[in-house]
Amino acid sequence: MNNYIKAALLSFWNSKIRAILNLSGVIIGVTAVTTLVSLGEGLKVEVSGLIEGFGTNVVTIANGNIDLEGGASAGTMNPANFVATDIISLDDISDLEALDGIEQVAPVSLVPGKVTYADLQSSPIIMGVTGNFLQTFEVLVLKDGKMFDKNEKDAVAVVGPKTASALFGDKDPLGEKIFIQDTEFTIIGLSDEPKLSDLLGSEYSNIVLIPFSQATKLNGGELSISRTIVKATDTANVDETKDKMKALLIDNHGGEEDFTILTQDDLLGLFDDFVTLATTMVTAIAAISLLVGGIGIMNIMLVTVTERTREIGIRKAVGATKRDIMFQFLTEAVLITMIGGLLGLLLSFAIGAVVASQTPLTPSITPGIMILALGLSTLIGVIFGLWPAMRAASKDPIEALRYE
Amino acid sequence: MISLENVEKVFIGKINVPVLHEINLFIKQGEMVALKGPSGSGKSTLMNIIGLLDRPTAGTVTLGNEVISLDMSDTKLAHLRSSKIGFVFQSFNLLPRLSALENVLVPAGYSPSKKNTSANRTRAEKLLTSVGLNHRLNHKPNELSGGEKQRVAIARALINNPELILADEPTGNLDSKSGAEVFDIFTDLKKEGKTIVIVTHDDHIAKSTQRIVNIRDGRIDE
Repeated sequence: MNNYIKAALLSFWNSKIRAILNLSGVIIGVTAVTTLVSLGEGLKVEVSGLIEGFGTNVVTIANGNIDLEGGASAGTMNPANFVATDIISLDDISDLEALDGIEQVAPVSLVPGKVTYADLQSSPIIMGVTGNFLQTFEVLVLKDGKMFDKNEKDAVAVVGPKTASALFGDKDPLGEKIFIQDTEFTIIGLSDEPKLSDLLGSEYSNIVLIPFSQATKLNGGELSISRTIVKATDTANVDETKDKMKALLIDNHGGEEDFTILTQDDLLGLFDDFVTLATTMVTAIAAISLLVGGIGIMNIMLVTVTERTREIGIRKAVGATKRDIMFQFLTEAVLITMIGGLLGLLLSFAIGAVVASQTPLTPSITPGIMILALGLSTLIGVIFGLWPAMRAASKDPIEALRYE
Repeated sequence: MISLENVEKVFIGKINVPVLHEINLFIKQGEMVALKGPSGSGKSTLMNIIGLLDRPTAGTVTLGNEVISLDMSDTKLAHLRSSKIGFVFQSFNLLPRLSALENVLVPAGYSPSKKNTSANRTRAEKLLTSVGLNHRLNHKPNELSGGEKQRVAIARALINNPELILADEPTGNLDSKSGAEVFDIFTDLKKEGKTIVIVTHDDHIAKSTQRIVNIRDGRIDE
């Protein structure tokens, strides 16, 4: 075996430029696969952290029926429900509050538009919330001032740190007045940087919280609940509470399940499904690149076999069996693709380092990914090297020795 | 050592071409024989059959105590070539990317019995020294003269200690001085008890062997 590897290395070294050019498909394919899988891994770590940051006893009610398990109910969903905002009513909210095992219910109403202060403008997320929002959504913590009361009616606001610095600079925002559409809001509170990583938490830095009733007014008097955040009393009974909420809402909605209750586990599951889908698609594209790469390898190996016909004849004359010749050329093909795999891996390490330095995301190249990269490239070498190696092995020694 | 009985060879194709007819040849252990004949006479085909690179269409070939059956597997033939036969070619046929020493070691790598590489290496160095090339061990073929190349090729033929040396026009590409040196090595090998078959059309070489087998139109005319 040692001899085969030595011969293969020597042969690679003798035609390294040509080999590397032919390898580009394998290099690109391996780089694509490893980079994207490692990005997915990094994203998973990030999102798991985010979701855990929300608190595991938090349940979200979303509009529309998201099919979590797949299967029969998938066909019955109405896509319009996802963008509808009139699905959860105030009655639902008060019924939920009365339910056993529920500590807080916080409906969220989004308000489109900009925030202005003097001649400055900012576009934060404007959320109409009830006063218990911060107890429910623990990612946000008050830094200064106070949160408005549970059923606050006045035009007051709590702003995020990014919004505050955009509008007021170093000035104390408390007591300042801002405009949303034509309504003037007095700032009574300032929230802290969100307790989340940069990547996914930053949007909670650029926010304005206003009382729920004010949001309804800004939305033209129409009730609009895009999300409802519910906090269960206990982490242990989250699933039980979820079932109770579901039964109650279905009953309230005349038997129709036009909403989805998501626990943090469900969210993680949804995200995993998404990453898996994205990874599968990317892998399919990378597979095409690897196929092209493999054909490149087959091409260079066929050329090599022809060029070295005489060598094959000599080796056979001095005692090489078909198996020996086949292994020699197969080893060479596998070695070439493994070098391609290594180069691809190095390249994805480099890309990962760039991504890590330029974005908040940290791609993680796990040992599993490394094995995947090298395994994949070895497999390509075996698959696409096999036929050229068989051609080499089957050459007639007399003909081969005559080859000029 | 070598015996060919009623060996026939026909090249099968659109038109079948008979090349060898009723070849009966017996070569004793330690004999040095010249196979002589004009080109197209069938002497290369005969050499390929003796060298187990080709199978006869009919007849029996025996090498040492091994009867070569007509349907012997390629692998078995390769193993027999590796252990019993050393080839020397007119155009040297060294592997251009390997050093002299590595070229000598190539057949050892294919030997089913000898895998001890350090012993092989010592033997290869000894063989190259015996053909006067101890100062050329790490030279590539393109850094060697024709005579030196052929001496490397002879060392290669000897690495697995075969009983038979088969040389196809071994001096054909050499000047007369180098040719004579190479021929002297064969004479020495004969004295050591090797059986040597030289294919040639050089009268001078042929006459220096103890026996000349003439081939004409695929028949032996001794």
